Amino acid sequence: MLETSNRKGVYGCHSFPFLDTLADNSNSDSSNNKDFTLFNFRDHKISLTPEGESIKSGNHLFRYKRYLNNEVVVDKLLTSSSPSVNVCIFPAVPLYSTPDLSRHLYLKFKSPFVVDPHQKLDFYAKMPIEIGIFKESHKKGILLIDCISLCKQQYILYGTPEHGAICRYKETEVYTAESETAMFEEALIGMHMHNDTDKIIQINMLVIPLNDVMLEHRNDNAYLSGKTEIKVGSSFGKDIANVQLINAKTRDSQLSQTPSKEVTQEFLMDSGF
Amino acid sequence: MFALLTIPQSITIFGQQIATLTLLQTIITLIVGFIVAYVAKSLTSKYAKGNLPTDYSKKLTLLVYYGIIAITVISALAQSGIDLTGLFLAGGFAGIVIGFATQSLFSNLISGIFLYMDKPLKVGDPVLITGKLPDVSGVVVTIGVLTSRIRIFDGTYVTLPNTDVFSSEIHNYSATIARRIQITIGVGYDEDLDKAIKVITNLLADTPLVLVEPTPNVYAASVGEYAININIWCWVPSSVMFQVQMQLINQIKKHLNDNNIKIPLPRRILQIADGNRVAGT
Repeated sequence: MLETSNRKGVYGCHSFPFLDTLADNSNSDSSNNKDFTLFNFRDHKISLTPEGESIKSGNHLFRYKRYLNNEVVVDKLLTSSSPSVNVCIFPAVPLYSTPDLSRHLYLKFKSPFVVDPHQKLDFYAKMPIEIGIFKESHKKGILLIDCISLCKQQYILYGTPEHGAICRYKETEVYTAESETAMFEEALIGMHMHNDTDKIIQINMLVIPLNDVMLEHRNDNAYLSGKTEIKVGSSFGKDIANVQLINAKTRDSQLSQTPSKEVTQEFLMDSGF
Repeated sequence: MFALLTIPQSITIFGQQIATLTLLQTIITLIVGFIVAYVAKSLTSKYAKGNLPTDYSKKLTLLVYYGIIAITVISALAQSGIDLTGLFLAGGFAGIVIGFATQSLFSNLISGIFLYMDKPLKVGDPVLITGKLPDVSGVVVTIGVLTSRIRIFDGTYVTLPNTDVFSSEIHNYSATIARRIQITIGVGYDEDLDKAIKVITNLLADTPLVLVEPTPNVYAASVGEYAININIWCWVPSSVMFQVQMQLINQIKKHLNDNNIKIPLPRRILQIADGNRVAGT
């Protein structure tokens, strides 16, 4: 049995052989409980159970289950052409547990920062993440089969109800160097800011577009890959922050998926920052 | 033999003598007109496909095509010298008759175009149409050339003339991304009001889909007959409004019960005429 408490490197792809899982279950003390627990994430437990073998097609069937406080909340059948199933666990942007609700992240800074005219600033902040569970097909890509959110889910409206955006909300400190993050709950995000205006500005929060964005991981620590640039300028007498995120691998770490192309996302903060 | 190939000076059509040259010009006019109509049809179709809904795009293309054809035919006939006075007279009269008969059709057509341009509702929007019509609330299924179809919430379809829709009051529930939920709940006079407000405020803070901003508002709104009414205002994403509202009502009741805060029943005190006071229900 693999548990987060006694095993390092949960993030990544794990192969579970059909016969081993069967053998493991046959040695289990309780013969009624055939579940082969993969990982425990606080109140969530995920398991794989060998379901059988199709003689005609030669496919192996596995049953994926997620339990929340010992109640089944997700139950899916996985097929594998080989006698093992590959399950990948990656940090994911916090958009999957409530799909279609939000595409942006709103970071509220506990300590707002003040930037002089025409000055630059590099800083770090923490963002919420979800745990994405993917089924990997041998060299054919991966598909999200489940998603676990361990951190508190909060949402906020940026702008007006007519023209604004619903954003995932997180209150964070601002750090000048890389900082420790809560494992499986947070990722570190590095940002680069320019104040292109002729006046001193105060940044209280930022809205970051997260659609199609991937995270990196190293030793079960998660990072937002790529670079996040914030340019504050003036337009028609109004201060506007242009947040641009170029999602690409930047660290000596692993990406959940290899992006087919560099993804650039932009968000214009015209309702204040 | 050459005499056989000689082109006649004029030809008789429908009892009218028409010069051969004029006839040739008429035929060329018709051919050019048809080519122009075809090109205009293609260009209109190309333009309309990306900018107008399919219904309107097809209608506009046909209107342009047949409009040019009509103008071409009339010009060609006028050019050929055929007397069209009778035709115009008959056409004018027919136009008046058709105009009266199709007045409502055109009115609906124009309203449909304005509905499309003004966009008070779109296909898929949950709406309430009220005012001129009896209240119709449901999801917009189609906005056609003459009518709009609404699937009301019990699953049946209602077809409304576009004129009526356009001149009605339209409440569009999905025009904004967030909406405010308003719940009023009464707590007994003997209860700790501050505690009740705190319990509800904490519940809102722990409900993920209640937006952090605009900030939720929980306040004592009025002194009722048998309870103090607390107003609960909070913003939620429009797409999940009904689910959150249902969930909140259940949770508020549960949390108040768990904290021993009573939601009182209506109470009346009856006083009998001889002066004996009876505590009533």
